[in-house]
Order: sequence, then C-alpha cells, then structure tokens
Amino acid sequence: MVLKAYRGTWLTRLKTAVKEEHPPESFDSSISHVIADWVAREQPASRLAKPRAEEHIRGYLDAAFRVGRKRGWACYWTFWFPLSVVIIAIAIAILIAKM
Amino acid sequence: MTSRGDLRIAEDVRSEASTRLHELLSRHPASGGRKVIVRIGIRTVITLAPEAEGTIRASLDDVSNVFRDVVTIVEFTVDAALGGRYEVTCERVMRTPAKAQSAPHQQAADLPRDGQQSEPTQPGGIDADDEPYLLVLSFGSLRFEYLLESRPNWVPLFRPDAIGDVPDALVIPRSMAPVPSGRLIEVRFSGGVLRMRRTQARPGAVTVAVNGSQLTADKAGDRVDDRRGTIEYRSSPGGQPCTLRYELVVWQAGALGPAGRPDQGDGSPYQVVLTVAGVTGTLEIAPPPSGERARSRSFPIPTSTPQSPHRDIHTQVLYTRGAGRVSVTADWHVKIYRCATPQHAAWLRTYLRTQAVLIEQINATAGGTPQAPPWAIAPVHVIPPHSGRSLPTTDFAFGERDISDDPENRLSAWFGVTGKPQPDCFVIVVSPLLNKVEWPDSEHRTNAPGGEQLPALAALAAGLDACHDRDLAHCDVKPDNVCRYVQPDGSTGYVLVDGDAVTRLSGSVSALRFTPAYASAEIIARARQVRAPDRPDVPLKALDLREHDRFGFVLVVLTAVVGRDRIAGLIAENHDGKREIDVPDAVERAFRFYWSDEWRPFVDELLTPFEPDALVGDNWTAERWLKELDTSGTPARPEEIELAKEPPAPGQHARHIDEIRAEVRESTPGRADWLPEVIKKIKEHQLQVAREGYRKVVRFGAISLIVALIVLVGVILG
Repeated sequence: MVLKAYRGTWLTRLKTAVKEEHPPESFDSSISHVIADWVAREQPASRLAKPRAEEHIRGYLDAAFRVGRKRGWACYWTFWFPLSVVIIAIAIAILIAKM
Repeated sequence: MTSRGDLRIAEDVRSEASTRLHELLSRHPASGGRKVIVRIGIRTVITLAPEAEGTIRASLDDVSNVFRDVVTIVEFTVDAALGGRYEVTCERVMRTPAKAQSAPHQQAADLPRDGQQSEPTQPGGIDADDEPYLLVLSFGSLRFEYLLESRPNWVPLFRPDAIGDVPDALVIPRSMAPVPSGRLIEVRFSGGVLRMRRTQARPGAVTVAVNGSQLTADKAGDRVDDRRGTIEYRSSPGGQPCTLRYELVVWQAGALGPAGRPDQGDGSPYQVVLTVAGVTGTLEIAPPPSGERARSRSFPIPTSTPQSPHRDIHTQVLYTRGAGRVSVTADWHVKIYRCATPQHAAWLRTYLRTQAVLIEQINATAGGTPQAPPWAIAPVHVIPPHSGRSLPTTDFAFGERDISDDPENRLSAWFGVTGKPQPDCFVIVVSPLLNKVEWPDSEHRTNAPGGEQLPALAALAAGLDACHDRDLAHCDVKPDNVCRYVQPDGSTGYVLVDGDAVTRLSGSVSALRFTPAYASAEIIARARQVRAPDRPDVPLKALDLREHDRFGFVLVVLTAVVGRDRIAGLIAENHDGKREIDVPDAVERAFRFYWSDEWRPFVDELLTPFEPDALVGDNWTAERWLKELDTSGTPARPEEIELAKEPPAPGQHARHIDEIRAEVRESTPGRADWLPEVIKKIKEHQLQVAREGYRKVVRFGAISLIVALIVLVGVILG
C-alpha cells in the first residue's frame, strides 16, 4: 500500500509539477546559437559557449530539483512524519503500560 | 495562366540576361561621349507571358541605368527546336558619335531587326540641361507638387482611371476624387512658357477652364501666362465644379519640406503588393513605432549630363516592419522614403531597383537566391508604384478630410505631412527580417579569439570580392552595417544590410559616401586631397575603393573574432584626434596582449592587413585572407582533442549536463536538429533530477520511521 501510494500518488504529482519548469519549445535567439555551439564541441566555440550554455541548462535542472525536494517534504510531512509519530506514541504507550 | 515552369524559365532568363549585360557593360563602358548600343537576344522554347517580358526588360533597364550612355535592344524569339530551355546572347552592336546622342531611338531604328520584337530603351536619369520649375496644385489646404522640366513634348496631367504605371506624366492621386478621372488635359513647359490643352477624351462630359478660359483641343495648346491661377473641372455644362489652384515656382534643389509630427491614425497597416521571384502576395506595413521620426538621407542619382554626372536627391526615411507570406519569408524590414515630388520618387525607385539587381547578382556569387541565404548583402525588393490600390471613381462631394483620411494617404500621415497627400512621392523598399543578435563583446573572447565565426563570414567575403570583380564598391562596410543573425539551423550568419552607398569603382568622387570612423587613414587623406576645392571632380580610380571596402571588412572580422568593445576602442579618436587602429605597432601590441602564445600564428595573420599597402591591388582578396585566418586559428582535429581533454561540467547536476550533451550528439547527427533535441533531453533529465531531490527527502523520512520502529521494538522487547 505504501509503495502504491508512493508511486501512484507522489511520483505522478511530481511529474505534473515538473512540467511547469520545462524549457519553452524553442530557445530565445540570444541563447540558441550558444547552445548549438556548446553541443558542437568545436574549439574554440564550444569552450566559449560552455559556461553560458551550461549555466542556462543548470537553471532548468535546479528548478526541477527544487520541485522534487518540495514534493519530498510534502510527502514527509503528510506520510512519514505522522507514521513515525504514531509509532513513537505506541512505543511510549507500551512503556507507560509496562511501568 | 502561367505555369510554375514558365515562371522559372522567365526568372532564369531574367537573371542570365541581366548578368550578361552587366558583364559586357563592365568590360566595355561608354567613353568619350559615345553611346554603347547592346543587342540582347533571348530565345526560348516557350512563349513568355507579356508580364514576364516586361519584368525582363525592366531588369535590363535597371542594369543599363547604372552605366551612362547605353541603349539596349531586346529581342524575344521563340524556337521550339532549341537545345536547352533558353538561350541568351548579348553583344555590342556599334558606337555612334556624340552628336547623335539626342536620338537614341532613331539610332536603334536604323539597326537591322531580325527578331519578333525590337525595342530600344533609353537610359534613365535626370536631364539637367534646363532649369526646372515646381508646379504646385492646391485643393483647399492640400498641396500636390510636381517637377516641371523644360521639354518639347506634351505631358498628361490627370487622375488615372485605371491601375498601372504611367511614365512621364503628372499624376493626380487617386484619392483626389473631386477631379474627374481620365486624360483630360496635357501640359507642356518649354523655354519658361507653360501651355495647356484639352485632349479628345470625354469632350461633352467634362469641360476644363484655366483662369476662366475654357481649354480647347488645339494642337498648339493655350498659353498660360499667369504664374498662379485656377484650373476648373466641370462635369457637363451646369454640373458641379472642382477647382484646383496652380502656382509655378522655381524649383530649389533639395527643397524637401520638413516632416511633421507622425500620425499613426488608428494603427491600420498600409497594404502593398510584393512579388519575389514570381511569387506575389500582399504585404501589410505596420505604422512606424511611436516616437520614430523621419531621418534625412540623400542619394547620388546618375544623370544623362556628362558635366554633372550625379545629382543628389534628398529624402526622408522611416523604418518599420511588414507582415505577409511572400515566398518563404513572412516578416519584413521596411524602409519608406519620402521624396519632394513623384518625379524624384520615380528616379529614386529606378536607382534602388538597380541596386537591388546588383545585390541579387552579388548574392548569386555567394550561392544565395532572393529567397534564401547565404547572402553577402541582404536582398532588397522595391515595391512598384500604385501597388495594392483600387480603381478610383469621381466624387465631387469629396472634401479635404476625405482625401487625407483615404487609406492610400497613410504614408503622408506617418511622415506628418497630411497636407501633401501624394502617395507617388513615397518609395517603399523591403528586405527579409533577420533574427538579429548582438555582436560578442571581449568577455566572450578572453581565452581565445572567436575563430568559430570565420566560416559564417565566408559568404560576406565572397560577396565583397564579387562586388569588386564587377567594378562595384560597397563603400560603407562596417560592423554597424553588418547584421549578425541566427540562421534556422542555429548557426550564426553575417550579412551586409545597407546597400544604399554602392557605387562604381570608376565613378566620381562626388558619388562617394563613407563613414570616416571605419575608413583607413590613407583613404581619408586621399579623399581630402581629391576633394580639395582647387581640384576638379576626379575619377574614383584615384582612390582604390577596394582598399576602403577591404579595410571595413577587416574591421568587421576583427569585431567578430576579437570583440566589439575592443575594436570600438581602437577606432575611437583620442584627445589628439588620432586613432590606435592607424598605428600598426599599437594594434599589434593590443592583439598580442589579448590571448596566450598558442594564438600567435592567428594573431600574425590578423595583423597582415595592417602592413603598408596590404589591401591595395589585385593580390589581396577577402576570401583568401579569411581562409588563411581559419587555417592558422583552428588546431588540427580540435574536436578529438577537446573530447579527450574536456573536464566534466563543474557544479551541481554536472553529470546530467554532460549526459544531455552526449545524448544529443549521439541521437542527432545534424546541427539543425540539435536545439529541439536539447529541449527534449532537458525535459527528461529534469524529471530524473526532480526524483533525485524527492528521494533525498523521502530517504530522510524513512530514517525517521526506522528510528521510530527501532524504539518500538526496543520497548516491546523490554
């Protein structure tokens, strides 16, 4: 059940949330030739394009990473944390009963 | 209906004939006041449509107008047994003495004719023999101005009742609906005397009176002595009148009234019809951006008078954009020129059409077509007059406001001259709109020169060399006139965007236009020398304009590979009025300082144009220099070296960034498909990265759960 909730609910929601951070269907003209030069791996174009292109792409990946972490924390606070609290509470109750 | 194949043949014939004529006239220009007569024979396997023949004739006229004293005879012949689709011959027929210049048509008529058609055409240009006058017609506060040159022939003064170009006529705009349409009167201005006469058209329906006297159809016409007066049109006896005031004033060269405050109206576009390589479409020209004011510009138009080979036409120009799918281009850069009179606009239109043909020929040498790059100079298309207008109807009830609000007078409003609603005074030139990007600054050139830009500059270099081979000089090659743009495949392209200053290498100094900041010190000094007041107008051969163009090209290349800001610093004048670019040692010191020693061979090659007289003569070509630069600036097999040496991308998500690049290169061979593939791969890796972030937090949650479970088990077990 836990695995089903994990895969079916949280990861599906994650995929939808990441879509909002996707790059546009075409790059802006100011960056498109830089990206193309970067992919080309030709000297010296690629070396000059590398920092700009990688910084640009890293921006999209960072945004997706933040979305994943946010969803992770949401999962933690709504699922793992209450479960942990319940288990600790049971343990405390048993301890009190034994005393 | 004309088929696509017929259009292609007509286009090929036009291109071939124009190129051959240009080459012949470049080799054998007119000299010593003698005319050159050229016979152009065009044989085709199919009959060309009359419009196609007209286009070919116009294109040949454009070429011959560049040269002085040329008469062309064009003959079209259909020959079904022809080996190919067409055959073009171009030959010089004869030279005639200067005294026969006044009758080129007669000369042509004397020649043997063996083709289906034979029609000589006279070179265009201004006849500057007599002092011209300005004929000003007024309707209320509206003014219509025409240049009136002293000529023996009668010229119609009329509002057209059919669409079409009317050469050598004083045309009242179609929006002037109160004036009855049709060729009702003709004027003749000769020896300072103005005469008018009524034509035979619609004799009973419309009467025309000048200063109260009804005009007759007398062959000699009625002499109009008053310098100002009235012309009254009346629709049948007792019908409604329309009165125009006229005034004859001495024309002052360069007298173009100032542009006023631009009025964009309701923002509606101005519609014209554009034809590119046989494809016709409607172009909607948007009003200029708010705040845009017309700028002044002048053009050296060739005249038919040897004593004054050029005369300046003063114009005002507005820049805007147009939209319309014509050929493969949908977005257009639009230049609108306003001239003083329709005659000036016609001369400018012919001049610009000539430039357009030359640009087309130069681009062909670089492998470009009017529709598609590579281009050396951005192709231009001149919109024909009366384009996109409907047929006029007479309406005596029309007032001034109705006339200035007519859609054809939007251009007058955009220039802020609503009181002069003459659409024929405007010349519209369009070019494909390029996806412009900024030139790189030195921050992108700190480790190495931008040698990767060199292949993109090849078309420009080839075009410049072709320009010089055809006895032409661009004269204003500079980074500001080169558009750096993104091509559909994502690579960079460079194209010259301003061909207005193109001139002949063998022209005269008075025709030379250049920007001193981008000219070499030698050119500036020599230009001063030959333009000194005590010197006559000497031929431009005293200046090697190729050197001037080449110096501009060198600066363009340097800007691309060194960085815009560094070159701007080199050409800027210091407090003594001197420039570092003029001191070879200073240039060398600067270039050696920019990069490490591994770029020494490249820097050495970059510096060769700064050696004395390096750019003069036939030995230096832009294409060869670019090739040598490319060889010295690119290590052998750089990609392998780079692949072996290149460290992984630093920072977060480095693995993903490296994988994206590798996967794109692996899955897509062509550069054109890289960008969509990069976007696709970024999306895939975004999901992976998001899951990593998600799992990181979830693992922390799992640890807290395990701790809780351990505590529970511990408590249960005791």
